[in-house]
Amino acid sequence: MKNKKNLWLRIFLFLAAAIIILSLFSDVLMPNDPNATNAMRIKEAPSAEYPFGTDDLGRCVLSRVLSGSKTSIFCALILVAATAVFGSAAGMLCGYYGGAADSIVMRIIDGIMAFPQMVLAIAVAGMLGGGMLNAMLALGFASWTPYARLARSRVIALKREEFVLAARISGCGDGAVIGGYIFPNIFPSLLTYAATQVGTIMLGFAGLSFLNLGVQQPQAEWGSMISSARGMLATAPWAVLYPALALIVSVMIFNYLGDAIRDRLDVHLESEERR
Amino acid sequence: MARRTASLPFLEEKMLKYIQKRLLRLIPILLVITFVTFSLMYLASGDPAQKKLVAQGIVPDDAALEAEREEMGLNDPFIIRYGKWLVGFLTGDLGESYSNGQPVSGLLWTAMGKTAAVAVCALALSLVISLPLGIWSAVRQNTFIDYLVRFLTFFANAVPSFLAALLLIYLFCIKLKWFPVLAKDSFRGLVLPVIALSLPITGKFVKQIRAEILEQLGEGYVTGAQARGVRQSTYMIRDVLHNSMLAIITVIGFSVGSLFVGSVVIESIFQWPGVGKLVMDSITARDYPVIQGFVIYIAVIYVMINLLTDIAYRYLDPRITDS
Repeated sequence: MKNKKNLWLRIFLFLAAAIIILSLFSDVLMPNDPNATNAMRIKEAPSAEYPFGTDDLGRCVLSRVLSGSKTSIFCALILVAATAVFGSAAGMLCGYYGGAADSIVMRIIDGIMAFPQMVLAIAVAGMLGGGMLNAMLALGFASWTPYARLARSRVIALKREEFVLAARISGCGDGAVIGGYIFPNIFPSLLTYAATQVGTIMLGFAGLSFLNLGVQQPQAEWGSMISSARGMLATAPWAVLYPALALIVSVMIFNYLGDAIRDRLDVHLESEERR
Repeated sequence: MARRTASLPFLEEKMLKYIQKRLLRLIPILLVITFVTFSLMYLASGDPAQKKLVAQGIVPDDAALEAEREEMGLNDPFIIRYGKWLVGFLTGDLGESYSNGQPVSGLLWTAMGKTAAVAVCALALSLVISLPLGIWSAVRQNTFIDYLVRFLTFFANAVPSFLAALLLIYLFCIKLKWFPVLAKDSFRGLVLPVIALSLPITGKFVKQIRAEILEQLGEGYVTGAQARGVRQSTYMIRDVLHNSMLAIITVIGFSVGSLFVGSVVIESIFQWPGVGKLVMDSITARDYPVIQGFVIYIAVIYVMINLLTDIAYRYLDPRITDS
């Protein structure tokens, strides 16, 4: 059973690494300039020169899908990493020190979690007025809270364990106790939760871009490509279908990877998986 | 004992007390929600007087701006404005739309009905599809059917509703020409939005229902029933399904968030006049009172649904107590 789990984990790690490498080298792999318009060759069907066809401005769809992969994938990865670090740090400090600051932070978290994540992100992005950075801020604001809750509840449970008390008695300061004894014990849960979030955040980001609240033209990003091409679904369906396919495949791979990591580390995240 | 009963009289009183306690606990949460919503708007909206005048198509000069600010109470300090707004919210007055001057709460209520029509149909469709699929795939664990269902589930989980909508439009409106692209308030136009909205939720439902049924099938009472020669259909319906109700209700409760988000996107694609379209139009028009009203309404509904889920949970499983 364990071998089978490891096998799946390896397969999806490999696939995820493959997509990330592909997006890193997208500049070299692009057959054409992703932003070069060509009025003579608009809405052309896939051909040898334009393998995924061209859009309404004559831009190469394949080049734009490749160029957009960098935005879509790295925005999601950076966002997950940032929210995981920030949320976990806040949760660990709150759980470890407790007190009034803890109560205040927890009430704020309750308030933020009272909104459906994406509704809050749409509202915040809408108020900030769109743009890639604002979309990331909006998604980040809406999605750091589960890490904080998770870290806090684990820290509170661990704080009373004998090995933590022993570390304290033997003269470890707060920093050494958190870094050396508590963090290594909660890291697997946090990593698992973060891994299961990559796909969700990727979809959230694409959703915001689709609603014109994320990446702005002409920068390529899958969600905004789908959004701007949706009017030509009848005349140039490839301009919608290829970025859509790229998005679906990437999200599936990252979702599978998240599940494989969870199975491998055997972490259960009941209350945090609700949304 | 596989079956649970919750009809003992003393429980009724306990339930009432519990509901009372939960409602009291809602008050601070609502305060935080309103505060968060109001501060976000406060920080984001810049000068609402100017926004309002511009939204009404007036080129504002200094005198008009100052008069408008005074009239809107913008010269008051933050906390007074929050207080006024909170009182307004509690009495059902969320201010007027900048664009057309109509009361925000009226706009939202009308739109909410339209959204609910689509959302309820989508939820029902999801349940009708996911219950049999989830059960079937769990009972036939690790067979071809199970793998197929699991793959489809994963696919559905990776397809956001906006993509589902576009793929459906491509297939049914453009290729097959079975349906109109725009919903236009008609029953026929509802079909595609409902399917698009239900697809991602169905994926989540199947996954959870399958996991829950599998867990129940591993319990001792199932082995016991099988050993006694009870027919599979009998113990599945009488015991396993009964015991899975808790998990299924929880899943339904937590799908409400996805339904709202899906609605925003689906309605802007199909031009269905619900809250989603209303809020997207308001974002485009920088109509802050409407966005604010939308956010606060959604949060309140979301919190209430979570509360109802918890109450249903308790009702179905009286063993659950406060932890």
